[in-house]
Amino acid sequence: MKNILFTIIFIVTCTTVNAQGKYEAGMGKAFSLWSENKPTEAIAMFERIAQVEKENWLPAYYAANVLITQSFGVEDKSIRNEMLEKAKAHVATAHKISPANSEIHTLEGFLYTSYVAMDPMIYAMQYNGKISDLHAKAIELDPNNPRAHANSIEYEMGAARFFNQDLTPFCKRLEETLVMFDNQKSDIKFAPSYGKERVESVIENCGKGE
Amino acid sequence: MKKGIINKSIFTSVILVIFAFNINSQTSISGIVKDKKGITIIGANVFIEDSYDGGVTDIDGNFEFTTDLTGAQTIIITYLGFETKKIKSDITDFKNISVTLRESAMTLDAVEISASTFKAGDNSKLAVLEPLDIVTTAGSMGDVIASLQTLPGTQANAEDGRLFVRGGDARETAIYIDELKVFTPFSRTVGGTPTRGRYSPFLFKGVSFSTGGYSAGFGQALSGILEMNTIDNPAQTETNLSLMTIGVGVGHIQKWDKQSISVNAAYTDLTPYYKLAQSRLNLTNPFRSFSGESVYRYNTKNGIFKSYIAGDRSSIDVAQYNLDSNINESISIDNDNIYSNNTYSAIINDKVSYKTGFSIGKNTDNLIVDEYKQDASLFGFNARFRLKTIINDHLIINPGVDFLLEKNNISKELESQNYFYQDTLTRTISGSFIEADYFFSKNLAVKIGIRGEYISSINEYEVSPRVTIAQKLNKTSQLSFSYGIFRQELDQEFLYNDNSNLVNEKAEHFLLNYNYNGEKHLLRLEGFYKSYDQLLTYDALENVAIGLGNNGDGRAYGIDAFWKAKQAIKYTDFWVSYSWINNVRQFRDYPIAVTPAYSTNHNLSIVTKRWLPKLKSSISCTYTMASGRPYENPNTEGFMNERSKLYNNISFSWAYLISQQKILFISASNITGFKNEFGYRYASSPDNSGIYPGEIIRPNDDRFFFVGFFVTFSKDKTKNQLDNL
Repeated sequence: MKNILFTIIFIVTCTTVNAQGKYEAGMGKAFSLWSENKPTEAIAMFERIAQVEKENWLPAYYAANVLITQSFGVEDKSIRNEMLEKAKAHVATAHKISPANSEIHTLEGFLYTSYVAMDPMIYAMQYNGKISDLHAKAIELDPNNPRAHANSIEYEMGAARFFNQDLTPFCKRLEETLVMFDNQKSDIKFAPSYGKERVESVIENCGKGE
Repeated sequence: MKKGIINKSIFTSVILVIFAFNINSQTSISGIVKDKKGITIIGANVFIEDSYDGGVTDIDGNFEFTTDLTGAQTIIITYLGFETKKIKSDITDFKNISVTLRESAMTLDAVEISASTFKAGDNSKLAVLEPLDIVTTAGSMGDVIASLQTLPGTQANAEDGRLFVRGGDARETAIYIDELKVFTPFSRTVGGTPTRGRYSPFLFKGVSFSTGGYSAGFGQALSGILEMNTIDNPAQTETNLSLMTIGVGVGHIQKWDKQSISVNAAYTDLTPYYKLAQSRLNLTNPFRSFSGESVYRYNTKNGIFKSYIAGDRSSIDVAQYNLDSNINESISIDNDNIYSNNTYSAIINDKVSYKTGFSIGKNTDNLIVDEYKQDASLFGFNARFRLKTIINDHLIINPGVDFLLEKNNISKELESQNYFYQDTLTRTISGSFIEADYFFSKNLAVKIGIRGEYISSINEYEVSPRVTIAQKLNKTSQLSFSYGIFRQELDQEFLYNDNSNLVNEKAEHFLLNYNYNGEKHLLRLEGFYKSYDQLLTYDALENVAIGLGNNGDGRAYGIDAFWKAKQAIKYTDFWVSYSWINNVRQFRDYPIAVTPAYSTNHNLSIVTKRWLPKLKSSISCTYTMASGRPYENPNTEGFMNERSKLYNNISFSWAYLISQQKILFISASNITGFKNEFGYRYASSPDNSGIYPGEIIRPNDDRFFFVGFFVTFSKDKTKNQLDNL
């Protein structure tokens, strides 16, 4: 009897560990695909994980993240629009799972930034407010989220650049986020922690090359 | 025995483990994904439902992956812009399968079913104007309506200011805010001074202007519909201050988590302006107004509630020469207007959403001409409920109901002659409509709508069918055809009389539209034919209409062309609108069918805008030209066969961004000072020598100058009032 019980427990544990391991392996694979410059495959993988892990906001968050990041390099407006529309759906899914999430708000701000970058004449007026709103909300939800701060500052920098203003104060503010990057910690595996390198490179090139 | 049990359980464990291993045995899944034309699809996501197992199609459209799953499974194939496909079968069947995906009909680049609609500020592919265009078009002075007059299909009526669409008079275009009727959209002015829209442009996120063939969701307009949609959620908490040569304004937006409120107040007084500028009008008290508006918005879990309230009070006093009495009459106009619009829109689920609300308004005009007094008031109420249902990937159905009540009251008084007259008029219209959008494919779609209305004043039920077919020719161009019947009540001033035998006026529209929307150029060509029927006719006997009937008719046909270049030259946008129209009708007291006085055969507008980065300035120039206006000269043979001179106007505006939060705006209309005319007006009886004395109708102001300074106070330093101008 004991043995049977043990076996059952063993198998159940195995399966659970297996499922947990599967999630980690899946996410790990998606990240490596992304880093191997296979965004389509990475998005597909994140989407597959998202449709299984219905209570976890991370796969949808990353599916959207890859789409948005990729969209910046897409010249064809109709394709870019489609990508961003799809990213919107993933962001909405993530919001639904985790409603007051600083990271998801930051990502949504990044999404609309891609629209503005695509066609400032049309979208700057339309989304400026929305973007600064999302950034403010993200900071409010987690005042220590370095990505929320960095994206917010970078977006303001864009406007300042447009008006030929001095960018040094913005770079100073960006430097302050570096500490936040160093201090970030999370119990959740795969929780966003990226962004420091980008901020460092922006600081390094501050005001140069324009 | 005991040992046996243990052995047995070990045996069970082994079996279980083997069974577990069995689950882990792998099945290979493979196949190819193509579209309907047989072209392979690269990058489609193919996977087993509720599992991590899947793959992506390669450059040849092939996919291959392995899975531990067994038994009946569902394979899902997704690809951007295509309908998602699900195939259910036993896992072993998914070997070398061939999948055909269907392009999803309702993608972003699908054909758009609208013929004569100009959109501004929304995300539509057919948007012709950007939000900023509305407010920075030179000559528009921040008036939404004035900027729309640079689009084809409109007639330049610079002395009036309202919208005249394709041979229709201003009454034939209805204005809606958030799908609810605006009862008195224009402020009251004296003859010769253009009126302005009452509502400030920055309240709206998008404007849709239809010059024909519009949706069955709207009735009571023979020619056009202007729909304005208010902003859902303002950007941020901020305060705006405006100092202008014509008055001052202050605005504040307060934003909370789920709700926001915007408040604006403005005081306009043209007294200082006319101390410096000349006017043909003999102004005893120049135009003065006090206006205020507020919008409250509340976001619920799945929807948004919006409540808009606006009120204004204005007055103007002039002395005007009367050709009949040969004296200067003193004219005084006071206007009070209050309007409220309340809507709730919500999403029920992925497929179903609705919008409901009501608008309510009251307008009072008090007119005093010497001793004659006239008070006219209008109370209006409009309620509406509309559902939007996405039935499947190809069909959307929008049904709805609406109700309109209008109550007019008029009183006239001439004390010296003991004359007093008072009358009221109440009428209701109950409407219902259903509209279906069907996408045969992403390139071919049809919109079929039908509208039914019960009109209380004439006790009639009327049905108006409408249809639009749109075909996408290639990635950038499309062709559409539209037909519809449109009806409208007679001008209310004629309904006070016994109107039991009168029916509504009717128009039929036939439209053929070509639309090209490239990366840098946008081109629209549209041919139209409009036939009018059941137009009001009467005999005018000493300014009194008698023998009212519906015996009038008319037709208007022509071509509208619109070309816009977006950044084809760096930092520069421009557009050219040209309309040619042949418009003839017999109505009112016209003895024969002629072109009405407000209609011109040729209309041309050229608008240019240029951003000067070094000067941090945006400059704009607008040129408008219209051929001569018909007018009736009682001293000559024939009817309405005289034409006034060509109309010309060059306007200029300059917006200078002093800093991100301070803007200086300078604008001037008709800078070259063309002496424009809008026909002649004649006395109603001839003088002693048998000649009717007359005078040229000229604008009250040849030129108009405007200087404004706008400041924004907000946390976000990038925000300014440029979008308010």
